[in-house]
Amino acid sequence: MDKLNTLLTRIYISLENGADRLKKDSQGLSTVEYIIILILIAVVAISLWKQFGEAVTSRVTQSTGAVNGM
Amino acid sequence: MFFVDARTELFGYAAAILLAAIAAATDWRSGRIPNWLTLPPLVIAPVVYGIAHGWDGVASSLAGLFVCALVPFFLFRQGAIGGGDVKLVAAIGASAGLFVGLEVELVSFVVAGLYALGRLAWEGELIRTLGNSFFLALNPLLPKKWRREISPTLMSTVRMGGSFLAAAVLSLLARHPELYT
Repeated sequence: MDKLNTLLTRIYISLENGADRLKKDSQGLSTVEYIIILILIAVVAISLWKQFGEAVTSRVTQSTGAVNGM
Repeated sequence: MFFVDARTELFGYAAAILLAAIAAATDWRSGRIPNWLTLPPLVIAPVVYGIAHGWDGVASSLAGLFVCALVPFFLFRQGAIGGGDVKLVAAIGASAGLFVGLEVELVSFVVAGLYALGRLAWEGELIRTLGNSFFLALNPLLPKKWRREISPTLMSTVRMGGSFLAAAVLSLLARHPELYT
């Protein structure tokens, strides 16, 4: 329980420090290297999500067919 | 729950495009996206959504704000993205709602990435930047002797304001073809 409290306190302090820094920072510059990584992660995540959706749809269709055939 | 009607969506797009257009201009001129532009929508948008659609509207706007800002906020903490960009993404998410906000965010990163890759290829810096990306992504997974630390001074930067504007317009045209057909 103490460990969890410490962890949550650390996360809270870290987020609050980040929020304070964010309030003062109005820069519009971003790093290209990280943008490339982000795009690659997004493309992989979207294609996996799409494949998962198609797999679920196909299973549901198969099950519906099986139930109707009874 | 987070879906809004077409009329509200168009108002959301109008607000997002206005925000992105002003941000693109200030970013282009000074490399900054000022707080007077990005902070007020974080309060005004949920209130307006609340008046128009009740608690569902407030939830949609707040979900857009927090979900859209989540990844950019962690990138900001790594020093990878400017604070102005994070607050602009949050403002666009709050104004346009969750799904439009996420779409604009993703498309803006793609637009900025493509623009930056073209510019870097022109300047002969493309291979170095791709190598930096490779090591930044894989360093945590590689054994220590194969890792290569990348100094922030060696990284390339891009101004994101224009790409947010392009992304908002592209997203609007893709979702509402009736506007030009």
